[in-house]
Amino acid sequence: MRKTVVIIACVLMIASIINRDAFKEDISKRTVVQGVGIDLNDDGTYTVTLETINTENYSNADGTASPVMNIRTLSGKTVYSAIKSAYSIDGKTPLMSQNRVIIIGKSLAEKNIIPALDFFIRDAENYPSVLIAMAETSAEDFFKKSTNDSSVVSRNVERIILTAQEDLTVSSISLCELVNRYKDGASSFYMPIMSVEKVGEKANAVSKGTAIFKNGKLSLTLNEPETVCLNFLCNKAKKGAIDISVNGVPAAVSIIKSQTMRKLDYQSDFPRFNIEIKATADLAELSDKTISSITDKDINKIETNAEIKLKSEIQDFCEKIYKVNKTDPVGLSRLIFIYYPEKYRQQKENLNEIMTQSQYNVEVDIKIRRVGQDYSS
Amino acid sequence: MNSKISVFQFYSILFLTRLLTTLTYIPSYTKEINVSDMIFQTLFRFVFGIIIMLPVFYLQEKYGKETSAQNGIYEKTKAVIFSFVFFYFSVATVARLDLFAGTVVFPETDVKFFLLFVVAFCAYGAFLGLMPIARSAVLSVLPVVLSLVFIVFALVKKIDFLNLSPLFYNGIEPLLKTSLNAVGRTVEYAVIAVFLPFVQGNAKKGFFIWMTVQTFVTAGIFFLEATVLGNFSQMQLFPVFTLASMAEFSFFQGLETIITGVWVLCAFLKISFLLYLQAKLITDAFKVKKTHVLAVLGLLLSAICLFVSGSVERFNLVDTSAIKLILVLVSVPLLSVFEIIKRGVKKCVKQ
Repeated sequence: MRKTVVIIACVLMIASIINRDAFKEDISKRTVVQGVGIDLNDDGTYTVTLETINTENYSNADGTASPVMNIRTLSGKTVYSAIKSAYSIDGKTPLMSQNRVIIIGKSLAEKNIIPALDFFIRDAENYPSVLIAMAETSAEDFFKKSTNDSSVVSRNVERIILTAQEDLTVSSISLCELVNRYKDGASSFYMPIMSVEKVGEKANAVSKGTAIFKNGKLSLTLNEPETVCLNFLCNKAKKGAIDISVNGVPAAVSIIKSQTMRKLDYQSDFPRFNIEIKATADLAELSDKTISSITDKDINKIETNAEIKLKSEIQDFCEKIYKVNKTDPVGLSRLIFIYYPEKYRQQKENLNEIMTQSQYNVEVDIKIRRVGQDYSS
Repeated sequence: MNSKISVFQFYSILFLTRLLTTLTYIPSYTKEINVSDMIFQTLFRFVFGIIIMLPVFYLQEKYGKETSAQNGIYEKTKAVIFSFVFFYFSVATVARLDLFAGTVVFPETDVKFFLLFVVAFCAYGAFLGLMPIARSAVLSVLPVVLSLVFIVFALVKKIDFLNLSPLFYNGIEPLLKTSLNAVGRTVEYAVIAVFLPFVQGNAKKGFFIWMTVQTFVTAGIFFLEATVLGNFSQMQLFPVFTLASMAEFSFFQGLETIITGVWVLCAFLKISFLLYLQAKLITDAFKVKKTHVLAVLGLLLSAICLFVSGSVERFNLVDTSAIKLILVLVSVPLLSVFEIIKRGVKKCVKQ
């Protein structure tokens, strides 16, 4: 038994020293990166903006404290060389494992973002779950304008993107998802657009719709109502509010649970996509001047109106992205690959063209679960 | 070989050593195969595994109780062949640990010291003998299984069925090739062929249970890899590690440290057990001191691994699928068939 204990002790010793951050340089010699912004310059070089934690935080004699975060702007021929040049500023190597978001500048988005992402896929310090967003202008501007003394821009962006599960108007995508969508036949993906909004003296990062990419290039931007449709089609809409109108009165339903089923069948050479959305919702508000109680008849009307509204918006959205813009950010073409591999083999060269000829049937079924306190049976 | 262990202890060691092979698989060997086929190929390798083990079990069933001379030329040759097979797999295991450490854990640090440290500990483990290794394996099985279950729960939310691919999209050939590669990477078949007479209990039943369990565990890991990572897994050197880094559960984020712990534990047991087997085979066949053999093996292993550590191209030399497959096929079914024929002829001559 003594020998067994010796063996287990040896293993535990090795296991404890081999964890991800062990054996690395002292943390004081590393710059903890929280966010990365990438812009493409006219000469083909990259400008990388790093938001890093200020580990040498101090208070001045007048009581003012040094900023919590540092924003550094670096340049290089590659993203890696730009990031590594941070060393020359303060002798610290950037630590990428704590990176929360990658913000793509518009200039890069308009060219091709894929080459700039290679470092984040190849380098083991980066996580595949890191979130990706596009800045409305340049990534450098975004970081510099939205920073203030008390908040971490990257953390704010991360929080906003992660609210995509609670807010239908925000889209979200991780590095891993983006690469998978890009490697699909249609080579399309999407990412949220981040902008800076000034409220008084304070500037904050806000989500401003979604950017659609085709072959790595920015192809289309979606506004917030269109982002809601995208979230439903991607089966990412779980919770959030939808504004409708009942007899000319504005109302809001709060989605509690939603499931999107995406099915496919073939009619001659072109696929027909059947999209069924089943959602459960609560009536959150009915802005009626008379403050009348809700009856069962009203519930039916609210359900029908919400269904009609969502259905027509999603149908229009499909028209716009598939038929006009010829992209597939939702990944519906992947269904052809999964369920009709032979058809996919024949059609993969002009998949985007095939998608323009396809039919998109949307069915929405919304059930109102509760109507709040004012209910009359 | 005088040491005997129970069926449960034996297959506990093999469960952990085979799990290591699954956790550390590198997709560059399986680039042609689709992610969904990776799940399905576990069934093929189950069938291949049973087929190549048939002569071993037949030999054990028919001549298991008969003892052959330990100092015969055939026995010595057999000991050398198996020792070489185990040594090659020991080198491959250490080299893979080195590649992992040098790429993922401390990419900017020289890992040579770490390698020597691991080999020295494993040689010490082998020196302590079979029982401590077997007991450590039995004690480790539960924590390892619980760790894997925890990671699975932490990944369930991330499953996306859109990442799956149609079965046999690239035909059946890549699937068969990958299954054969997997068989070649299973040194455990050679271990069973050597160690079967020294296992107390129903080894045949244990083998079927072990094969079934490891098939399900492997299929489960590949299922998660396919649905969570999708094609992204093909771009990662160690996809199972990347998979664990995606795991999130409550405030726990990035569970790759757990996988690293499981990996090191399994690697330690595997290298120690393989070194123990080599030392035992050579000691029994050539009547030399166990300490001397282990010292030589440890030095040789360290020297080769230090050489391999220099470049990723050298890693390919010691981790070649074809060589591994040949080694397993020669040492397991071919040698067993040869022994069946040899013993049959001997019996006929006697009669």
